[in-house]
Amino acid sequence: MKKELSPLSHSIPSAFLFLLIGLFAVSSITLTLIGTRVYRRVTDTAAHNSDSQMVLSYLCNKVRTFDTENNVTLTKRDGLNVLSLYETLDGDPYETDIYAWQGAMWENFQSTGDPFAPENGERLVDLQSLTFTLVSPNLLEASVVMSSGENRTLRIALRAGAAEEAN
Amino acid sequence: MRSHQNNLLLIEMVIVILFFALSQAVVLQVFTKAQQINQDAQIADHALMRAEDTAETLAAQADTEAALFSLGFSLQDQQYILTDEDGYRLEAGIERLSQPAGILTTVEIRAYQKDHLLFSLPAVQYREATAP
Repeated sequence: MKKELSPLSHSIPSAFLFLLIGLFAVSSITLTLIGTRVYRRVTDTAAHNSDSQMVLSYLCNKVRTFDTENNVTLTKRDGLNVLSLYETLDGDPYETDIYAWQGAMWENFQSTGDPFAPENGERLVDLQSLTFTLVSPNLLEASVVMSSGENRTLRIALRAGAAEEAN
Repeated sequence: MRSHQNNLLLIEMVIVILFFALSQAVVLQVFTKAQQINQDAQIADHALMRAEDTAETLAAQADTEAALFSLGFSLQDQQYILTDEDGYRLEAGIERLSQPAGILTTVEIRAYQKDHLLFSLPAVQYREATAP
């Protein structure tokens, strides 16, 4: 005797199967989206940290290199907040100016006394703003706002003595 | 016979889907851990920057306690403590060694995330004694 199966008894396992496959598809998509978000966040954070660390470490190294008496000066030139670092090479005075202009950090090396032209410098890295302030006579503070909007501050104690603030 | 085959297929599908679900759970855990590690690294990075700024400020200023207060530290149980909203805490302990020639001040800056020590940064400052 052959047992007859009703159409309903066929459709229940099929529906269950489709439900499982659907569930699997939804969870796979969710997992992929979560993975993408995590990956993007990790890489973005690494990139932002690397950029801001690079700028601050560059500034710190520059100031440390020029940290001798009266060789670190904050000036205002063409409305720009400029960190001027002075040195003497073969008896001639030179200066290295670091400033933010047109959405980037620039460095300009020139003879002391030459007229300041921001476009003559070398474009180093993109950022929104870079400001230097003297917290105390021998404590320099550099505030950087990166292109991503990340804000970082660095303090550098001047070992050789007080910095000058000229206008 | 056909019903038996259908059941076998269903069982096979369920096993496969369960296996993939298990893999997804493991991968999800890995993602969560990666995000946590990333967040911890960011906190440690910010704490290090703050500790370095503190050390530089201490190097530049003569009055250690006043410098710590100006940076936002508060005195609690003989320790100078700064709690940041980023999720780290800086503690500064001051030790002074007085000699006839001057005073050597060592400030040990320790950074914590919850109760886990992230790093310790000593800031040493020497001030010559003023001539009588």
